[in-house]
Amino acid sequence: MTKQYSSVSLAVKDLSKTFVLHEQGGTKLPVLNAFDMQVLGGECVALVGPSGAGKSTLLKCIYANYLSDSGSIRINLDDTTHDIRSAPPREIVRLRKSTIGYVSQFLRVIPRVSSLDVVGEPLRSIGVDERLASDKARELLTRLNIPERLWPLPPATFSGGEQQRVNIARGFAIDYPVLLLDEPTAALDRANGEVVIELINEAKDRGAAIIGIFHDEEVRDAVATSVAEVAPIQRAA
Amino acid sequence: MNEQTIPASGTPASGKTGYNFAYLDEQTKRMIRRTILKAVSIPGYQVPFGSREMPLPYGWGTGGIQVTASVIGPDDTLKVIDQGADDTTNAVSIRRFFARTAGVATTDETGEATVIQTRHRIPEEPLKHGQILVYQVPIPEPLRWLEPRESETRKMHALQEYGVMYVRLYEDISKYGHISTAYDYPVIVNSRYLMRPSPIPKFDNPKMDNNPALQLFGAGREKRIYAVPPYTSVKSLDFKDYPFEIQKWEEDCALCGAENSFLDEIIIDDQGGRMFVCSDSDYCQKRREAGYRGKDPSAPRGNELLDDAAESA
Amino acid sequence: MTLEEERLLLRVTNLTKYYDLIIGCRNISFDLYRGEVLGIVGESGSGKSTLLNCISARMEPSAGMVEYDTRAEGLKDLFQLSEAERRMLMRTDWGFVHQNPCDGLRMGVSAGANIGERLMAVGARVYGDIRESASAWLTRVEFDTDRMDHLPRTFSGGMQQRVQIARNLVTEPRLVFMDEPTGGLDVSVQARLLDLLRKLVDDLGLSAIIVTHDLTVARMLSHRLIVMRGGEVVESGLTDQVLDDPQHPYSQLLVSSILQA
Repeated sequence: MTKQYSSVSLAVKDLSKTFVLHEQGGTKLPVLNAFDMQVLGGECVALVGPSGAGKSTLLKCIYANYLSDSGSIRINLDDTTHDIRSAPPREIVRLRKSTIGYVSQFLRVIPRVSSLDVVGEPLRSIGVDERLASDKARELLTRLNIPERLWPLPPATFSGGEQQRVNIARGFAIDYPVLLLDEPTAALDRANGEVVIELINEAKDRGAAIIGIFHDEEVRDAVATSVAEVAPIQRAA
Repeated sequence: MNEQTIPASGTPASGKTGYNFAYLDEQTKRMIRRTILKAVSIPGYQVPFGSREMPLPYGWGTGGIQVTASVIGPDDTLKVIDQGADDTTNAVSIRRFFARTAGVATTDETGEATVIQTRHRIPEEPLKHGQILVYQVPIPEPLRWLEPRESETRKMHALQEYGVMYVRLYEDISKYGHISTAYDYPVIVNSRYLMRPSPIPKFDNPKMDNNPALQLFGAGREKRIYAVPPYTSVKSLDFKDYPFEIQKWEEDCALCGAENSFLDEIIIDDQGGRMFVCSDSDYCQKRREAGYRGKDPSAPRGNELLDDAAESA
Repeated sequence: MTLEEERLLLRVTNLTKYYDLIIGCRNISFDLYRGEVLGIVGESGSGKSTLLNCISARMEPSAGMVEYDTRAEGLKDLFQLSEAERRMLMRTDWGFVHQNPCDGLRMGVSAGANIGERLMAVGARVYGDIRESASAWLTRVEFDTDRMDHLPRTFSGGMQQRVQIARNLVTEPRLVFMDEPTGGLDVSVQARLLDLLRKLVDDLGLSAIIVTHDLTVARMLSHRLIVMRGGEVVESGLTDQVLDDPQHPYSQLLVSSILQA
């Protein structure tokens, strides 16, 4: 889990994304239009803009969760360039394992799996030894103030805030070179918010390229090295 | 293939019965002989044939009778046994059938016979080169129990997919701690085809292996003939840690004292009295004639006891 | 990325299947790599089962090609292999998990024998080893080994499905086909089975092709999705992309039709 890379950067160029709602008679919803941004290792760029401007959509396009219409998304990791938009699904799956991390405020619950395993799973999936993975999971859960008695339980039964912290722990289990954060601190209390800020700053310090959406200005000021504006597009009906 | 083993049988029977020699018409015998030739050429492979209606019901040996009728000639000597005995209803009927329709000599003595039709046993006395052993087969397909589709079992034979047969042995061991299948125990013939040896006790399985006699199998209802040519390997399926074993008895034959023959349990009264005697009546009698005696002091010399037992049953 | 992950396992090219004049599926092409799990979704009659049957060599396509990376000779056209080779492939290097356990199990023989059968079919002849293997696999699919000598018909649907899965995995196949593997089970049983499948696929590095009409199953198990309609592929891509940002009108309809629990 020690850093496996020496330099990383992420470049979004000319990125456009329009949703076509076939269910609604083919309504077109343009969200991104020729969007550009770049993040270097050690930077944390905060996306700003009004609600609905497409900040989350941008993160999802970078994570390849959403399909973008044109432009490019490139990750330069050491000497290799990964072109997200043209990468085949199996390469995206691989990139998500150890290169791009994504933390949202919502945990997609996996039934029956203990919190400890939920957090350790990303490590195990890249072949990290069971014991090491478990150690790291304990460390993160402890830092995020999840009581030890909850560790063996599946997070499905937890409160919203606890679920969110489990999710954050999972997102930080691996030292991803690229981190996408979609309001990781929303609905967290101050103490836990502080922990997340620490985690983000640690990631920055080890040279990760981070893009995040932080509604809480205090958090944004504490972690962001710069700000990129995502402006809403005039909708063509 | 030795011509003597399938004698020409074109001679019509004596006019007494009005039937063709050995009951079947010559065209049918030709067809069955061709089937037999094919069966002999592919040891263990089930060859379909046009089984005829016979003057006795399915299950009474119609397959065996058709095979016997097709290979028997006027100079042959026929022995018929059922469960090892020459004097049971089936054996008597079939023997008489051929005596009347083919006019052939019949015998009880294994060594004298050139053709032996059998149900459920192989004689204890080792067979010789030139003899033909004809088995009556109720169900020819060894895979039937596991795979009901004939189209599929044929494919399995073609591709030698016999792993599933071991499933049955596996089940035996997991249920009873040993392979409990006691008769109709599956064998591999000539290292190729999986074969049902008909419901003979597994005690007889080793006798099939490398036997100097020609072994023919006829299934009348299922319309299949298969064969084990002389001196062909016949191996019983087993596991390395559960090797094939034959039945053993704690007692010897009460009549002749035989230690290595297949024994039948005979109930002798309604007080729980019983005795174990050779199932092969000819073998037992021969031994007694030669002076061997079992532990039963009142053991008669001939077959009387068995006759008595049959009558009182 | 390792070389193994980069290895093409199955290639389907322009696969078409007609039933007389009715189209089963038409012009389907895709590649499957080692360790990939592909989901095929679509409503009843969309051709997904026809496609599965063709690529698993259970049915011959009317046109097109299915190639598989055989252990011995590399990429080979399935329908150019001899039937013996094809059947060997099916019971060793492949698995097929049926929706109805009756289709994938011998209901008349014990759970242990059902699993052992595939080993015996490839020449295992030591009872003790076969039993040990069967028991280990039953444990792995979270099945109580005390019941390994019982007949499948005495088991619940979920247990039968576990036995079927163990039976398929015992020869350590590289590719497993699944046809609605959790169909017909209670929701709670379904969730546990899904979780088990997900874990097995991960731990064993299995490649799998899963036909399902249940998008939850598809999301949990598959990396990649193919959406079929009327015998054709209308959309394909990364599973979460297809489900979260479906492009084709039919995919959008399919996704919007799920009830959010």
